[in-house]
Amino acid sequence: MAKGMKAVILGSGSALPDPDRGNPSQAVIVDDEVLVFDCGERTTVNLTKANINPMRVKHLFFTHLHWDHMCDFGYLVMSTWNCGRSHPLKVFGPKGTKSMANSSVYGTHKADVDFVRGYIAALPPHITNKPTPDPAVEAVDIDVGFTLETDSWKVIAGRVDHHQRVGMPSVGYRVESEYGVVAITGDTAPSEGMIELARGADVLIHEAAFLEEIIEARQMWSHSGPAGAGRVAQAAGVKKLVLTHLGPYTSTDAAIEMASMYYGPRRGPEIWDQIVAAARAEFDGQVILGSDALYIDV
Amino acid sequence: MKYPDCQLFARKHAEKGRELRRADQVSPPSTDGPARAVSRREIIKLAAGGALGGLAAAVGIPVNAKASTSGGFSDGISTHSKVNLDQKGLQLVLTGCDCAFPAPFSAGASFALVIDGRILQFGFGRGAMQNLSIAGIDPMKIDEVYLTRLSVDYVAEYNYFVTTSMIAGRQKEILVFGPPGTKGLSDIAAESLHKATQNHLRHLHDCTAGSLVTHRQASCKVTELAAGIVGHKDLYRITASRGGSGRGEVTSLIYRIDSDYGSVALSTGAGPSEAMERLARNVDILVHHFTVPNHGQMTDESSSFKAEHESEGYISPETLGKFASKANVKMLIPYHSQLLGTPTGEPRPAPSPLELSEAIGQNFSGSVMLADDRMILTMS
Repeated sequence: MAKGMKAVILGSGSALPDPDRGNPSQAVIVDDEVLVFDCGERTTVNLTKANINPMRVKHLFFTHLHWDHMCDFGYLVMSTWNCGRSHPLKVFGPKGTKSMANSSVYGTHKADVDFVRGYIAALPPHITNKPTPDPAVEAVDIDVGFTLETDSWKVIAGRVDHHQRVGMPSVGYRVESEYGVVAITGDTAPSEGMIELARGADVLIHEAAFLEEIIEARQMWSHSGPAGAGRVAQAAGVKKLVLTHLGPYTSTDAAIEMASMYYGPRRGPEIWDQIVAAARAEFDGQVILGSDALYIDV
Repeated sequence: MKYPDCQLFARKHAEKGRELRRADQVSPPSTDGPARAVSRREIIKLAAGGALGGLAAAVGIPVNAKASTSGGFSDGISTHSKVNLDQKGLQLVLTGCDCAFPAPFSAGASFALVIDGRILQFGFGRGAMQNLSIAGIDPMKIDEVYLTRLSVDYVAEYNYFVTTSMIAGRQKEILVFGPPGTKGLSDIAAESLHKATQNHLRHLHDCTAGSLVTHRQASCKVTELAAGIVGHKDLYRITASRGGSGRGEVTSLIYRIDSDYGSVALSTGAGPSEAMERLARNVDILVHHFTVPNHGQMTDESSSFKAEHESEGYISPETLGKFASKANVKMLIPYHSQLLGTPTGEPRPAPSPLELSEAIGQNFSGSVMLADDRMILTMS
């Protein structure tokens, strides 16, 4: 893989099923290392769609543990283990992450753990290409201020504003390397904490989960609209703003029907231009509408 | 590879369906007795057509291909066939046909049956939700879920389905049936895996006095099943049997669904067994997994295939053909085509669909339709 730093949107969709967009997830690639941030539905599959072998993922960071940000975690762990992943998957996230990881692997997927262990034990000696004895996962609970640094990159967790008042610990991340900086919000209302975390970043991946009119009408104050994301990008002085966590506004009838309580009826295709325009009205830099398997150069 | 336009099949089938119905009543699963639906087989063969020439003599492969079906999840949505929930009849929707490993354009194993508008989901492999959505089924409208086995390739999206349905405002309880362990799987989601979301759900409920979401927690009624008739309504009867995995580590349930419109049997990764043969006896459609071998390894006589895989519960194309023939199946839909690597990890060239079908057809004279995501077959 070429030297450099790239951001990849793995899932650009909402919390609800959408054939056009997977649940939230993104990767930052620094040289040959793949760091994944959040692991919503379809993350593993969309890694392959982005031509990234899921076996290459060694570090996974959760912004928070809402189901749409973690529900593919078990599949990522089990499928890579089954395919022969030999390195431990290092997992970091707010309080509850370690418990969730343990429950997922040894609770939800107990049948698979038992099965693969039995499968390995039954293999004849000449079969050398096989899974390791355990689906190695090293999970750690972290909080605001957490820093993880290697020779190639540094990840910093910062404060965001997303349902903390009802006991939902949430963080955003800043990834630094010699090539540049990528900031990732997870879910958040436009916040001072995120402005500080994204200060001077080359790329800010910011959620725009609802249109501002929906946030107002349904009082979804723990999320951002495109204009709010634009204001954060402008205040932080970033170069590129990538909008993600987008609703199924133009998806299939069934997806729209299921999500209608939050997103209302079908919108025309012009909705996407309107979303970008709302962000551009607040931000002088480049605005990019997120899509699955989209690469952004840093 | 272009796959068939199943609606064409469905239409042709439906044209004859009414006259068939009287002479071709649903029969219970049994271990003996004559084949009951010769006329239906003829219809299936009619639908199969002869576009593949000589191959059709051995194996009927409907090949009136629809260009859009070979695209990805996001491609060609508008031209895919849709489920009609208002339609009388049985609609079989292949909501995922691929193997356990991640693939960008195909989903893990799962199937939906829509019988006179009532939606039964069998298995919840990765990608099931989006394929349901593309096929025209709002996942919140699923009436009953039948888990087949608790391996990740068959349940990867189960917890996502349960939690998402509640968040999206599902009003009615989810009825879930499955093998031993299903209750534990559901409890884990509520108690720890999705604990953060469950807390959020309660908050949403309490803050909005129930106007935003109805339930304070995911509302599932889980029933763990043994073998026998496990579901019986006016519209259909569901029979379960226990399948083996080949290694005996995972409890698998295989299902047969009988209705006035026809019958379907679903295998679930379990190896061929007498129980599956009894369950599939004279069935109209058998959806059965198989394993894609290397060139020259599609027969029982292939020592390398036998040594490496059959002892593990996989099934070769030739063995699948024998099995379908022995059970007197009318139509066979092979799915879950897992391309296995070599013992030391070198890549293998995959055989073509034509080769696979020929291997199956060596022993099976009924129709064969290689499975593809979102295929919809209708019996009415």
